[in-house]
Amino acid sequence: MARTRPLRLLVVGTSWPPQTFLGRLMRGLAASGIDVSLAFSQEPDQEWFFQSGLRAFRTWSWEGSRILRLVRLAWLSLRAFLRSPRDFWRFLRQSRAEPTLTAKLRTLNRLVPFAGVRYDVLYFPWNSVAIDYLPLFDCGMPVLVSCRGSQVNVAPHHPGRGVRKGLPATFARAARIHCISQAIEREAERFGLDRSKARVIHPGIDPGFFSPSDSRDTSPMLRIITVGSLVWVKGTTYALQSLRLLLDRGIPARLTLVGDGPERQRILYTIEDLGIREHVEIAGRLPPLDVRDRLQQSDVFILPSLSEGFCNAAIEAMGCGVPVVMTDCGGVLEGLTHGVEGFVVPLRDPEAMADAVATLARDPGLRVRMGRAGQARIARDFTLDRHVRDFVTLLEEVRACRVA
Amino acid sequence: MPGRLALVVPKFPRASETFIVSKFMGLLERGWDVHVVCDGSERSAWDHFPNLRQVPDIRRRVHRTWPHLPHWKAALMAPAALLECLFAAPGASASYLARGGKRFGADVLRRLYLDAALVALNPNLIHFEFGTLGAERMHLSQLLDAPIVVSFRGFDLNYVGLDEPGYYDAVWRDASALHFLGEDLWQRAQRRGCPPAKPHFLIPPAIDTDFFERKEPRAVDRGGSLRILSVGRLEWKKGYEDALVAVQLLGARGIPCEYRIVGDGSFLGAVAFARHQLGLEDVVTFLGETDRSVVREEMLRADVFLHAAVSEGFCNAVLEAQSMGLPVVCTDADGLGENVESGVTGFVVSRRSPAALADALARLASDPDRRRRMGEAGRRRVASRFRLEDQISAFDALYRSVLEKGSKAETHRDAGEVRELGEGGGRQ
Repeated sequence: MARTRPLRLLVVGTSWPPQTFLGRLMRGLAASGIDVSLAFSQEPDQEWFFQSGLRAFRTWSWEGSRILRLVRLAWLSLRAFLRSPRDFWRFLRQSRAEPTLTAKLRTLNRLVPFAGVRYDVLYFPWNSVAIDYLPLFDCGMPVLVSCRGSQVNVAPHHPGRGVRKGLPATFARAARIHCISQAIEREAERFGLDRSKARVIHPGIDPGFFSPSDSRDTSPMLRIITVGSLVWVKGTTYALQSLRLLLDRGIPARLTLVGDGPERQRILYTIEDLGIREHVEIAGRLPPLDVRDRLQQSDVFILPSLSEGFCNAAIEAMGCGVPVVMTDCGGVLEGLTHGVEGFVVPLRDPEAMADAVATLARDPGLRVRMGRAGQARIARDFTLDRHVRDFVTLLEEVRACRVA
Repeated sequence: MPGRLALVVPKFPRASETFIVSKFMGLLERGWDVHVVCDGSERSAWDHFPNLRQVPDIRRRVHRTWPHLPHWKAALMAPAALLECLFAAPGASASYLARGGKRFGADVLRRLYLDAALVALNPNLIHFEFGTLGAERMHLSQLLDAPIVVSFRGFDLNYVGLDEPGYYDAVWRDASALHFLGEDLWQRAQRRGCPPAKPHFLIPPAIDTDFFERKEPRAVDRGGSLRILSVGRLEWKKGYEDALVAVQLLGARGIPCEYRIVGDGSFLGAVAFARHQLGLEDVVTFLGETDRSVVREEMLRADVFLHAAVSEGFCNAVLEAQSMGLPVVCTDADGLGENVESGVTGFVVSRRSPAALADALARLASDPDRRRRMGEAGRRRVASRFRLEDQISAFDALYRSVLEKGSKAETHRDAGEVRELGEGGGRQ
């Protein structure tokens, strides 16, 4: 029977190396018997692919010397034409719609490697990328697109940008849309997502990896940690203001910032300006193992985000048995109950965040109870196994959408 | 006394940096041989400064540095740059190569290329108009034997190079004098390692008080909503998120208001998102970047000027608002506390505190008479303290004192050498 044949999945739009959570999902899918190929424009790292049981699908970015680019594009176009004249024609038409010659060539270069390629399911982990590949939606492969956050939460409110033109088109033409939280699903509906196509699958983590350490150091100082890129949407300066308030109240505390990004200067200035240089460590971007180690040695996890799809960083902290203080935005309340695994505080309110952290600072017993509750919540609702299982089901559902 | 001055800036002219243009024109009038050295010059920017175009030998006075990227272009241009230096200033070029060779070895050639515009100009005094420009080029004081003045205007001291200890050490050591916009920045410089004995000049910015003057009669108060205005680039340091929260608090207290923002920048996404999230779409309008006549129009129709910055050198827009007779609500970031006299020309509250901003706005909202009084006091303050004339005089004095001291130092050095010889002779 055809159905017993493993599902062939092509994933387009991951960076190299893939984001940690995507890498985990892909390996999980491969382990569940799905034949996963990842499209990459870099020379694939064979070792990595071999270890993870994934295949590489080679594409080319619009780089290199001008001559090399043009020769390569000519060769790729010829190959595409021979493989599937119809696809090639489709891609050519899309490219011609671009305003400038460079944009035309760049678009064609992006699309041609996919001519004549047929998989059971085409998956875009980022909606923003899917918009760039709209012609692939017409090649007869059912498409799954993930909606993770900023594309529907933040970007549409930028007066210069607004809703990206292709966003409603991806909603209309994809077979299914995966939303990482109900909150994201609600936001996406405002831009034309049909609820019957939407499937909410919350992220998951490996509780075997993100778990409390056996050897926890004790510290007279409250060790606070926050994990996230240094971008304005994470509201990191509010965390610094909260720290200042805690110190003012005589609570000895230390904050570790894990992550890097364009707001580094703003963060450095705020640290200087608030006079908390001795109390803050900027750890930079760290590999997952180091993030885990740091979480394990922390007393409280905080994240003063202004907008979130879900609370990915927070569930890792919960897995490590660390109580969480987060702002009330996006799908945060779907992953965390106020007063159980931690506290949910109002947006843009460093005072409220400091209050919540102070409550935890004064009561080590509460920290332990909330940490355990977090672990239990992860084990119940947010394991990687559950996440992968739900994804396999969804992919099968998408495969069944194939137009006969 | 007046000699050849080189003012070093990133771009010239620039709509948002009117002060450099005013200074350039003012010093020229006082007989200085002023030149500007910049990385680039955009044609559209010249349209903002019709007077500048009329300076007779303006082309000769604006110098562009040679391109340093891409590398192949720089390599192609290098011989031409070298030739220009040798022809225009053979003496300076020779001394640059001789002294630089000792200090940097073969790297002196690369440096000469980067410094070529300044070497060819061979000025009596070099003024880096921003601390960041001076940080890596203090070797010029030795290589060209010209005194160097470095200005600090806010961002350069506040957050550039914070994670590199000693970022400005060469400036503290080799600059002949430093210029700060205000006392607060001078304090910050000392916290970043500047010796307290360093010669320094506090010269606040100045504005065109003739242009920014309320000639039209003040609109009668219609008892409608409070019209709040901000002018400034959309950047994190301007604290717009705090301003929006303050405006929301004001609304929550039942005080109707409208808030207009002039300016554009990379932080537009964050500010627009805050507007959406705080439900202020109907209250807040983004006007984008405009020229100064629109700014003036907006100031005419506004009731209050709001500036919520977390880091700000001094802020010309706040001066312009006061000059237009607007009461100002601002934070105590850097020089703002010296710019606005709290309680007299406006209210200065602590930074990162939307509630305090809202309180100050509420006080002004309920008291049109106070708004008028504060506005008038602001006009008087700016007209008496921040006049362009005075600023030019202050720079004139700064340059004179540096050049005088420079020549004195030379005579001292000579005298010292003579004395040493004399003592040596005595021992023999």
